[in-house]
Amino acid sequence: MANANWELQRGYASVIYPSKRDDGAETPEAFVLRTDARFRQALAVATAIAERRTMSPVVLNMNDDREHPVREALMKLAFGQTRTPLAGMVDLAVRLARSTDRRTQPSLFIVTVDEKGESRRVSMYVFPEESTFALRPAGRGSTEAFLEHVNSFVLESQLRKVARFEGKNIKTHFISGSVVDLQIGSSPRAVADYWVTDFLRAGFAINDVKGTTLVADGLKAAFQKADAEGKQRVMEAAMALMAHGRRAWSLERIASEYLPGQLASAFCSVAQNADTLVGKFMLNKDLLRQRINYRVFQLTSGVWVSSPFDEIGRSVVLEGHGRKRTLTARGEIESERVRSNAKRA
Amino acid sequence: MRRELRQIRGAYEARVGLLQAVARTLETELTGMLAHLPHIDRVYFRTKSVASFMEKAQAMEGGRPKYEHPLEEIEDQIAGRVLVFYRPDIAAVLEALEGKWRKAEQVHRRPVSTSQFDYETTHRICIITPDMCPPEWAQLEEQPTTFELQIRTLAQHAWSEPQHAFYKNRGGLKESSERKLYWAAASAWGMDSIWEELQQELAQLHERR
Repeated sequence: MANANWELQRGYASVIYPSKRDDGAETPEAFVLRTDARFRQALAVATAIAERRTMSPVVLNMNDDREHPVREALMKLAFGQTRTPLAGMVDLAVRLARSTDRRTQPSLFIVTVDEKGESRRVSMYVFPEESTFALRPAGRGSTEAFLEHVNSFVLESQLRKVARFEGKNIKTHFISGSVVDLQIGSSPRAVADYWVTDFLRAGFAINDVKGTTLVADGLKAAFQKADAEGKQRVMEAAMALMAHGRRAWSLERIASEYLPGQLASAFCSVAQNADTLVGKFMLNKDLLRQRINYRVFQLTSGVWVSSPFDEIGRSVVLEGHGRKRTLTARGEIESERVRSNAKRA
Repeated sequence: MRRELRQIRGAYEARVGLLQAVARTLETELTGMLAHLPHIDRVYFRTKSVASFMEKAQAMEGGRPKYEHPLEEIEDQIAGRVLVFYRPDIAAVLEALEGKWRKAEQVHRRPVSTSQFDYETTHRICIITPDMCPPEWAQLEEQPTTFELQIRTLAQHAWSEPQHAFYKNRGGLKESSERKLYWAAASAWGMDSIWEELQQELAQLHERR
């Protein structure tokens, strides 16, 4: 997200009224923003907020012919001449409106283009529309607009989403970028990731299978390094992850939420690099269960039983069908601990 | 602005080690991804040699350099190949890749005309993602963003590999030699067709038992 040497070239804005499944919705109006000193200052503050957050790498879902509607719009914005960039902005605004359903409030969609040599950086920001600032066309029929009460825009707006793509005007660029979406992963997928899946038609660069496999490998690495109590913590982390409603995780987030110091280090050691550590991915719980080779049962008595898969049907016996099943575990006790305030997800 | 060839060569030579590290990661990952599939003969990756890269970097198209930024534009700096027994296995490999190694482009290269026999292979250009790269990758300037994966049958491979030596000299070959070259391509296509039929028959036989 560093701004080193990037120079703001131009900006565009559009107010987005959600119109998913509304075939009769009007095409959003898009404007060229007056990028005067006040706007530049305001944008710098707004982007500084974004820069404090970790960006997750994403890749566009290209078709076989290397085509993608968002990439085409980004290329128009980045490299188009005269009126072409505004057409690119309209394409993106239409796409965002149609990706957003009516449960979402109207928003202010701002796109900026920065320049560094032959490279361009296109940044997309979504702010909630506030009554304290407004997008005003410069004149009747004008394609130019300015933000009124720009100070309110900075102070009162809350940046919701950012996406950023950069590169040269060549076919291998603008196929991957990075995003921040504060809403992703905390609620059901269909609602949460319209920004990445529907609008950008993209996916996290770390795919579900790879991300989940890294989690399983990380848990195993931590488990091997842990003492008896640590092993219990790792098992609890695995159980908590499987029970948690959140789907989008990063290795760093899992480590910070569930694992103490040394165990966290062992867990994070499976990441090849810093981007893999902080990059988000969608956790596949079934695959995680399969990879860590453990099943966890909660009994009506409040007892929890965690068992390696291999032991199901041997020392851990399941009986009954459907909803009424019982479990019996038999074996020699190897160790025993008393814990107070056991943390369960 | 295009860099001088000397600079391009130096930059490519300096990155070969990193490309090899990524290639090794990809080979291991793909081998695991396809482990459940039958009829996979081989999975292997290579990095482009300096000489081959420089030859491509100097390619011309319409009187101009084909690549303005060869270090970023040439997509087979890292390339892998999957060899399968039968034609339907190609689709199975592509299905196994779906959602994992995201594509930038995919094409099944084959002769346009039904009356021709020539090179036939599925080419998939995949996007390089952070989880594939060593820590030093972040410091690499003008990074490649993609790699190439070729998927073909053993018969397609049996024709494609030897013909590569003839490919660049086609104009100089005798007419009868060129005919032999394409006759060999037709034979490879025929072999694939026969293997496919036999494999289906074998599968039906197993079903009946």
